[in-house]
Amino acid sequence: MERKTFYIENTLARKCPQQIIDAVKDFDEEIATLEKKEGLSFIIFKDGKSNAFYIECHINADVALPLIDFEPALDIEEQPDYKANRDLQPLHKAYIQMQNDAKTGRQFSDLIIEYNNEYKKDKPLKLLGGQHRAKSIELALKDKNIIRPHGFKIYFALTMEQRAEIAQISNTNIQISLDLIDRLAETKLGPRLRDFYQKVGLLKPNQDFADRRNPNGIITTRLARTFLVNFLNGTNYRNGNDLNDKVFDPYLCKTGGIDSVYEKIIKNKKIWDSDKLIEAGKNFSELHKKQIQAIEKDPVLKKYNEFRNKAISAAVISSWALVAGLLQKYPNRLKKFYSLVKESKKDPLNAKAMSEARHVSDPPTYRGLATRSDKKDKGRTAQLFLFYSDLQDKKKGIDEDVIDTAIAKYEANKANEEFRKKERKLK
Amino acid sequence: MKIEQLVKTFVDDSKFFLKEAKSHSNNYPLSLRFIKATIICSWCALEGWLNCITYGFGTSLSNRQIELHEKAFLLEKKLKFNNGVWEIDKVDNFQKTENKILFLLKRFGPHDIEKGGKLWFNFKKIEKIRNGLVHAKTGKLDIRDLTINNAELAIKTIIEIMKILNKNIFKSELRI
Repeated sequence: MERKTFYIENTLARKCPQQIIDAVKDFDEEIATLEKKEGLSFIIFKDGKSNAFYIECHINADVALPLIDFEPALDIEEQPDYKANRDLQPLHKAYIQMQNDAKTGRQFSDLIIEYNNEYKKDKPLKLLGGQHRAKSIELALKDKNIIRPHGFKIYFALTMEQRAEIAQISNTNIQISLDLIDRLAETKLGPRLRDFYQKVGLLKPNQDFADRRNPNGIITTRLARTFLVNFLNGTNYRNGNDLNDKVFDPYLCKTGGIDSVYEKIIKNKKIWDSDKLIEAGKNFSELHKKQIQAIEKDPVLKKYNEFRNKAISAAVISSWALVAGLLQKYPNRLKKFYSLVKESKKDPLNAKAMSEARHVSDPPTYRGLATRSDKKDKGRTAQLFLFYSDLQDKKKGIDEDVIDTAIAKYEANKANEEFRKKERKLK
Repeated sequence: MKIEQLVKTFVDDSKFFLKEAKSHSNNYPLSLRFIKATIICSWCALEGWLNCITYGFGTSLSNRQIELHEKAFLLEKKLKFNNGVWEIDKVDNFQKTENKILFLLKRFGPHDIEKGGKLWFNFKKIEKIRNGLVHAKTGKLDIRDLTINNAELAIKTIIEIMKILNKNIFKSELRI
């Protein structure tokens, strides 16, 4: 199909220099775009900020990729060896997701290109932005021969300043939190998890999970999943009755999409109707609320958000849920465990005492109990809740002695368990 | 301050005293004061630190996890035979520092310390000087051993032993 004109200048690009028109013409002759194939014209735009001229078009993956220069220079004349793009982040979850999407036919848009055949002439499409998308398209082409049309923004005859500005803006984005990605993925799975947390009071009616860690104490999707997984892990625990002598490693769900353990668990639709789970959820919700209220009332501690939101720290929520699950077979201990909220005169978790807790083996940089999400911190916190649930004094809350003893117990159990493992190996 | 933190301050104290001992090296009577303090504080650090571990293990581990005689050793109590049953007595039975190190490493490490090695040789040397100082008696303490070099050796040896224990028992680096 023949085109009447191969380009149209838009109102803001009326004074398009001949140099640009020539460059667009050259591009049109060299590159097999979809617009050309379909007899459509390009519109030449002029960017109001950089005064750079560009068109938008679509090119099939197999046509574009051999012509893309992934490492274009920013300053062609003075610094040709310094590339414009940031390094790829091969392990970034969003990039891995992008690759998977590309392999299933995802079409990408807004890949930022400068058409330039002054150097590396065989690769005139200089990629200034969208390298992760472009690499994903390349991988899909190589591995699965996926050929789809993708959207490109093609700049022409850029000055070094224009190129730098465009590259910079193309490589800047507002960081999307992994918690938001989790929330999006969860929405795709359905409303059950959200419904559950609204039901037990950890979310208000119509409230969604937080899209990032926040001072308001709104639970994120990751932590919501973590609670569920640990509670069920606890109820399914079948390894003897000596809970106090064991070292537990509460599970922390992965972030940045779907967690496989969680995904497996929710295949059983019956879990959501479990009275025990609902009871645990309600008790945890009470704990979280009481913790917030107690810290807000304390004129000294109220400035510490981490104390206020201690219940939804990764170590506490995972351990609490695991212990709630483990104690389902021990009604008296479960009752004591759930009584923590009622029996505490101050903040039930005693966040300050937790932050000051140390074991003799800890480095000076240790920031106290339940401040991190590593195995040790989660294990110690689980030990604290187990130890607390076994206290005979019904009125006793979590105090310094309880915390220190629980930490010592965890370390002793761990050392003993390691020894037994080695002993078994030798036999 | 908790006992766990206190025992670590002994290490800082001994480092401080060693620095003072060195800075007064041309005045032996004054330097000697700091040498004595360095050696005694180093030993206090090790002993206090070991006691934290042994007491923690002794009180935490149940009878399902350790033998009664092991528990008695950790708690530094005697065993008594009562109505046909062995039980832990209230009477103290203090253990030598050397034995605590060996027991902890062997039982919870599990790791043997090389008794013919340099570290153990230095440990025994420092132990002898410390005992001579604390229980000063003619023939028990050689004043010529109270040197800056030995004071420095005391800190290094004590820290190295603590680090070995921490690494083998708790699988982590002790930073002091």
